[in-house]
Amino acid sequence: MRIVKSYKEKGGKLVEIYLTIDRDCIIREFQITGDFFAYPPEKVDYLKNLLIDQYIRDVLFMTKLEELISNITWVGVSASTLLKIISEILREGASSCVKK
Amino acid sequence: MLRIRLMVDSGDPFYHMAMDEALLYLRAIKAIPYTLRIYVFKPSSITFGYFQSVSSSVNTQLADKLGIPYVRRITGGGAVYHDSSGEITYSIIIDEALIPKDYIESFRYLAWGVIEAARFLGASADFVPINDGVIKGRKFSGHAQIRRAGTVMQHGTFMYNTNVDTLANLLVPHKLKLRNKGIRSIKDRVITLSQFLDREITKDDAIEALKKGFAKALNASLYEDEPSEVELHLANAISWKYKSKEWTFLRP
Repeated sequence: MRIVKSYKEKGGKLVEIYLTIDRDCIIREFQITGDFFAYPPEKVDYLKNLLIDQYIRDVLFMTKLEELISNITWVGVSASTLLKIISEILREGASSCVKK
Repeated sequence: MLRIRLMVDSGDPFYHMAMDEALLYLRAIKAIPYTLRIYVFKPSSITFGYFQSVSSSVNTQLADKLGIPYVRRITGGGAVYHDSSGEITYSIIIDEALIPKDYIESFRYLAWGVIEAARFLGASADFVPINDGVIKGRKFSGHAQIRRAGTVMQHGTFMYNTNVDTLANLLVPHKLKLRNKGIRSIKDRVITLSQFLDREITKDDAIEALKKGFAKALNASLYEDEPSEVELHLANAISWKYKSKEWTFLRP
């Protein structure tokens, strides 16, 4: 199952998040894309790698996720908005996933 | 007054992106002076932001058909069409200590040379946050930056005579961006200096205006130089990354 969420604040930049979960509720794809800026950029990739191959319900309350997002300087989107969108997409993924 | 080395350069997008990255690393270890590079893409090319999905931002089918290479940048921001005959790109590599701490103010500070250049040519240009140079509300210039080890590298565009039809066909705007800006096509959002001034601005006019613009904006004296052997070697070594499918399709 693949979920895509797009967001753009007025005067801000586009953020599009892709989440793909397999039949065993494992995250196979997690991408934060868009024309925003993030400093340092590689932390965004670290965030992605943190979620890949994880059981989706295990990451729902991951405190490290929040910590990581707030430790990146975002330009064009706020950390709180981003955290909200990521939480939403993960919750949506978790609620629609029934482990076989 | 700052002394800044100026390089006027030309090459393919792999070379340009690799050279900007090489200069960033070399300045970070203080091996090179502050540098302003003014360059032309040959052939016309597309670059897109580090975080962008290539298929969502570039019409890759058309680009492939037209033989227009597309390359992921190390900087964020959006996709750009670099028209060989209508666009000049700049990059500036300087210490972070010399620029405003606030990110958006730093964009403005480093982009101001482009605004001054447009004003020299007679256009009422201004900077609009986050990273746009505009004339009468339409974009003629975009800017992107990265910081590493106390050094900033910002690059940006100067559309003096870009073919906006080709640009609109090659770049894919997201529907949310069009809706937010209340426009139907990228063409409604961009403008070139030649269009605005209703006269043809040449490449030489644009380059001269950029030289004057950056010297004024940064209160700098520019001295022209060629890339050194070390810079060329490092850029050559880094260019493999920009040519690789793994890098281009990092976010498919």
